[in-house]
Amino acid sequence: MSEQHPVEIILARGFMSNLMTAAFLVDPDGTLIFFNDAAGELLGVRFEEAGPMPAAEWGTRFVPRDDSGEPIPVDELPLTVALSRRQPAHGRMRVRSPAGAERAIEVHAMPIVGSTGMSGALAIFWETAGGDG
Amino acid sequence: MRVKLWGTRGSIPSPGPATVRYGGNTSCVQVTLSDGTLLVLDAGSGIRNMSLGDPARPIHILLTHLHLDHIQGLLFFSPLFDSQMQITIWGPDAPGGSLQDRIARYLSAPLTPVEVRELPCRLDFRDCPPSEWEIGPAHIRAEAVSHRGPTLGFRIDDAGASLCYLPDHEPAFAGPLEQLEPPWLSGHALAHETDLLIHDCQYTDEEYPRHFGWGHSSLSDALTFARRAGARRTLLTHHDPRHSDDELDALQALARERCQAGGGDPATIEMAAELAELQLSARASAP
Repeated sequence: MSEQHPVEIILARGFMSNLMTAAFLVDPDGTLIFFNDAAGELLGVRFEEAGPMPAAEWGTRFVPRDDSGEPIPVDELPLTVALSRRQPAHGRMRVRSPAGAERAIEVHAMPIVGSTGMSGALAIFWETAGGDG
Repeated sequence: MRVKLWGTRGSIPSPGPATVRYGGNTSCVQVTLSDGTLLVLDAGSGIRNMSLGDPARPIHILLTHLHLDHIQGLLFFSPLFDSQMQITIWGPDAPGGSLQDRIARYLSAPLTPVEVRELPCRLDFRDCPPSEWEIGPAHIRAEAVSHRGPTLGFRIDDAGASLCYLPDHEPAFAGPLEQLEPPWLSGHALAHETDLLIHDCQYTDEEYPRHFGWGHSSLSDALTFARRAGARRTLLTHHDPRHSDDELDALQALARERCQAGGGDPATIEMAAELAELQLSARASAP
């Protein structure tokens, strides 16, 4: 019998698919299990091309840096904080797409808690002024 | 495992000359396990007519959710008024109180003359998170599925046969069913290769767009779900109260036509009819 995601994660993906704002979805282990087309535009790659990624990979693949250009450790990224501390988290950062374009973004992440407990977290991104455009 | 349908209508009881054949009672299915243990899936108005076998056996009522059409028959289920009866009611865990407290909102004044605490049977309530457990010889699996509010689907495996019960289910709310991979398809794991799938089919394809997000499925989506899950036989249920017997006949003909066009066996699809009985037996093992 195939395993599947909890219904709140399934519905979160459906919700995110219809957003025009960029959004990430991770499972309880921090594995990136979906990002929407708007996030794909921001990051320069579609989820269908990128596929699921463990936290260590997505946390570094897009090279998140703070305003001074220092890399942000994976465990300090808002999505990781939302998962580990079970609370909303907010942050600003710069990310670089695979094509090399740098974007300035703000991120708000929140945990998703279903009837079996923590089932993941989602993050919504806004692009702010200061990137390569 | 024996299955008998006591209520196949959705939303509200719909008695009358136009609903005689498929029935007007709301959701209720009796499942008699291989050792005689009795399960009752949902307590819609159909539960009132249920005939019981061995009155000494405990009864397990499994509620998918607490919408009125799934619990409105409870107070008319005679074993609840029998002090010799042991009854366990299983239902979804949810914020806002225990299962007993949430059901008591309905079984209390001013809505009813009898309160839960006054019921003479030995009554037990079990908040049921998505999980797996055993009842008698059966393995029960419950999972939250796409509907409005906390709602479970059930899979019952007993003596080599399986039944999946998803009477209120809108998997297409998460996206087009043909495009969703199984881990993203609500209810798929429950229904995977089940011997009998009892699935929501409240709307025609023409009606569905006006009811998108209400938690129910169109004919096309129900058929797609059944095919993708690999269900061996499918009963389409939770008939819209406005659908007459003749309209359900036409819907069944259309369902079978589409099933055949897709390479399936049309005989495996039918509209659920009140009082229908089925025997689910163990499949022969592959050599």
